[in-house]
Amino acid sequence: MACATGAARFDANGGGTALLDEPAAYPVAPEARTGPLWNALREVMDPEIPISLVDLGLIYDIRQDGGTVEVDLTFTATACPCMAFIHYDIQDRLKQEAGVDDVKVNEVWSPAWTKTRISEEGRHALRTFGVSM
Amino acid sequence: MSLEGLNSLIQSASALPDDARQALRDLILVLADSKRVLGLRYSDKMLGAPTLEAGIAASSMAQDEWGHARLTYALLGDFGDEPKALEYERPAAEYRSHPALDAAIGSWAELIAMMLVVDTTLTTQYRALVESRYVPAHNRVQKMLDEERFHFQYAAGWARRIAAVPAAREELRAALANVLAPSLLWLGDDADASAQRLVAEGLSGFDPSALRGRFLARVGPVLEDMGMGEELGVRRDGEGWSADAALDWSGWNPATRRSGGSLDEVTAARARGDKNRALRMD
Repeated sequence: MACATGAARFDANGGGTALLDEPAAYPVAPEARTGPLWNALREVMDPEIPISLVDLGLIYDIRQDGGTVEVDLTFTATACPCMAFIHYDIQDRLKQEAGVDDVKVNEVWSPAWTKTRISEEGRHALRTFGVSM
Repeated sequence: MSLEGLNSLIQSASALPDDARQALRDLILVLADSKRVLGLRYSDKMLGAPTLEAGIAASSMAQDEWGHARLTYALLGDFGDEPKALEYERPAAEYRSHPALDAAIGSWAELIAMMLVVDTTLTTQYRALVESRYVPAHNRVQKMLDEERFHFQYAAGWARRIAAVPAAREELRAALANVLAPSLLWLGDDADASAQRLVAEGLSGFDPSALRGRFLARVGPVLEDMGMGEELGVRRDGEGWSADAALDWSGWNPATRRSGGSLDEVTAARARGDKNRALRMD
């Protein structure tokens, strides 16, 4: 499974070797994840566990150009079974925002997700749900 | 060749000379098809594994392999391909999957042999891509390699366990022998022009012989631990490892990494998801 179990998998896995510098914009620092689009995605839950995509650290960037919003998204594992649902949920929620006509979701894999990207709020939610961190 | 030895990164395949671009496209398609079929073979052992946990592990690894296949097919968009067409619209004869994957897996020992040898062969080639200057591969492949560590650890653990059971040891040895030779061949021919172009352009990182050395350095210690290295013709050779297997290049097609044969249509239909095509989500 990708989302809930992905976190556990990386406990034992550690990181990989990075040959290239990580793009500076990835991920957007927690304190910069503000505004209506980030807040909207805080309402989009991971399909498997009660934690938002933002708190899980899956949203790397959000950009808006006129009515078009572009989201950079990663997953906890390359075979997340909920990929298509997550894409749909992001698009569905962002299109409810005023002025958003089109949403493009880019899957990015670098830098790779690790559990260190989970926010404090997310960690609290996971503990409440019974997932040890 | 390592990334440090090259003075420029390739951000898109369009920046490559035609022959190098074709060679890289061939390599990526071979990897994608192999991952897809490998996942299918793992999925076949979700039921009938030695334990429930082992069946769940097979399921998890099948899912991983399909995730890796999906990411690899997606890379081909950089070459002008339509990834969805490659995934869902090709007949069996056009699949370029590793030939050791043509036959279904019969037993758990056969699955472990495939995981230890075939999966590691693919990982060896993927690792060379990460160490190349082709940036799109680096950005996607590192995550796969992180996940593949578990597959190798799992395969090595099970191989040692099976080797310790007299009633099952010979079955494992035979299964390893069946997949070892085609896997060594699969890593390619140094004399092949496309392999040379991949190395010259810094796209593969290592020539085929060096890749075989890296593969053997990974698998060899496990075979040695099990006391099967000599039987399988794999042994320490100075600082590295070597294999006795004769590499027969007759009929070898470097684009498909096959000397003939093909995937069967039933398996290809499963890989394409033909029976439930209407429910596919993109």
